Amino acid sequence: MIGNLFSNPDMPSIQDYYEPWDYDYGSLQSAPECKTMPQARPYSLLHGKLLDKVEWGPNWEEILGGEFEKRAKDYNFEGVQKEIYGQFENTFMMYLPRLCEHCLNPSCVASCPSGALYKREEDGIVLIDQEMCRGWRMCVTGCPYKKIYYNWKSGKSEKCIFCYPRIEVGHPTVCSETCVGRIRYLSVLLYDADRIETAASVADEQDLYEAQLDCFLDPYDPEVIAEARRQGIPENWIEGAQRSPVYKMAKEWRVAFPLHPEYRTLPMVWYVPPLSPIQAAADAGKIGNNGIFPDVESLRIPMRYLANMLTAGKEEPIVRALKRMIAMRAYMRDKHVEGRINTEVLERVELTQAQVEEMYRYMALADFEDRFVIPTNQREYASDIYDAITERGGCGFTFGQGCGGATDDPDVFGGKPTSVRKYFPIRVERSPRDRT
Amino acid sequence: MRAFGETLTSYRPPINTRTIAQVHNKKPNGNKEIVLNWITPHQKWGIHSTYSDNLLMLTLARGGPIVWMSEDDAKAAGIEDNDWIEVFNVNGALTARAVVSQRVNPGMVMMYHAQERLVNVPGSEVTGTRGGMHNSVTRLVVKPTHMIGGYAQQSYFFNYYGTVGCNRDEFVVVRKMDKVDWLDDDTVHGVDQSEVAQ
Repeated sequence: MIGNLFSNPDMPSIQDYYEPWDYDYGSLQSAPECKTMPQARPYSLLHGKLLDKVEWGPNWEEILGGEFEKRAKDYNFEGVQKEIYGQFENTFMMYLPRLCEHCLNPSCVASCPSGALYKREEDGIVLIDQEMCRGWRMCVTGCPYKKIYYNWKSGKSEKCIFCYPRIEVGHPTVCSETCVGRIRYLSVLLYDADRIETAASVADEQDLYEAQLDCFLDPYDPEVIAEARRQGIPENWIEGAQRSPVYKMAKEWRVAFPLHPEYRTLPMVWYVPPLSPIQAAADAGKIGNNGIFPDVESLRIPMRYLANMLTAGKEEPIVRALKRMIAMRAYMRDKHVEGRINTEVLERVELTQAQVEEMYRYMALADFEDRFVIPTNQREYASDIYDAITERGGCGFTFGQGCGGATDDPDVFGGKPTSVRKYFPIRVERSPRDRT
Repeated sequence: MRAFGETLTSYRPPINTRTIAQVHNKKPNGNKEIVLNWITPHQKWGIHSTYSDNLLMLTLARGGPIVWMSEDDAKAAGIEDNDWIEVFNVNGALTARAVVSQRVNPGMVMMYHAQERLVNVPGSEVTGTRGGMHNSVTRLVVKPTHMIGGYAQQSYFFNYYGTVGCNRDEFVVVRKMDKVDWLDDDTVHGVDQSEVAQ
């Protein structure tokens, strides 16, 4: 038992990520006169040898590259008759941006033998203390979302830090702010920490979504407000919770869902399922409809696939969310194009006129101020509840001059020194014609 | 344009450009050769002036030239995803890796524009020289509508004659490569330059 205590046999290997490579660009300038064009051949950054073929990369199967049979091992296909989705006519795809879920019940925190991982009490961001990390890598295998990476240079694990230095001063994370499609929303949620254990322990995994919703508190409830004040939650955070787009999408309109709730970590990055093309087919009479809605079950992306991803396979909540978004479109179309207020379409999805107008404002117009309601951090409050010393001057990563002094070489993103990749490989194999 | 029925986009069946018969099954390498329609969509994996030959951009796909084909055609030609393949006709030849995908319609094969032929391109078995890029197998085909209205004459430039797709409408032979030769030892005088230096 003791012998196995620190056993971690299922670590991802470099092949699970990909063997990093670069190109022998220099040979293009130094090649002698040849009968054919010179080539910048790929070489491995691990061993420096030329590669006959690059075999795997970080975006290898993008836009459905690769045989369906291989890609269809996708666990979200469970319970879906997937063969038909491998046909050209029934092809579907969607994008799923993934980041650390900053879970309420983070399994990475639980798995760390060094106590280096922690969830900040003031804003719920999950961080790795770079001073305390001892490189056990239990978190790498402990995170079901695979969002912790081991830095072989510094010997520490690293993860998304939710851009906490930005969050603290009221800026959105970089991924949220730069999102061209404006699909990312970011704000405060008040939750009852005492309910987390119960929520994570419900017997049926299909109840996890609702159980997590029950943890979230109504920021307008006078009792909630009073209790929040009593616990010292700053006033601007309570206001933030009230204006929170995340609360509206998750709790009020029920259009956002946790990614893979069956992992029981109570993830806190939620997803709005995508509508997929049906309207044209429905208009052409190829898909049934009830007079107002096209048959949501006939969406190009199978409902069960989305449900496997977002509600542990329970389809009703997904159907409701998609119907609400279709209703929003129908209502706004009638309003702007036909010049009439179509309340019938709203009644069917149990939305009020005010709600749907607000949904439209948040989800279609998506102004910056509506998408990001981020109260600035109160450091005096934060330092009371957590030892702020470990965070001061830290960055959560170990590259650059960031924290800890593990290395002085800036690398990874930009900066001049990056062009000199001096740490690996040991020796670069030159193309034979280039040995001068 | 009205006379040709082309005031708006219209479907025209592929034309026989007579580029296949002379090369199809003429230089066998042991692998099956199939004929497919050649489509070249606009560049991917490049951002405006950030050209697709740098490491970051190449990491967004498969790190070199690739040609997309359907699962059915790939099966028929014995090609698996990421196999080195050769695409050729009388116009020329290119070498790339196959991306086998359900999103490609059977009967066609496509290669995105602007994949750099200085990076990760081996020699072609058919020509014995370096493989080319997407336009190696196309050629300029002028049709009557190019000559009207002062449009084409005013704006002709190399390999881009007007607004229609037919200048790249082409058929190609596709086959799996037998041996990948990087042509590393083809210095002009057949002498290794390092020996000369010594």
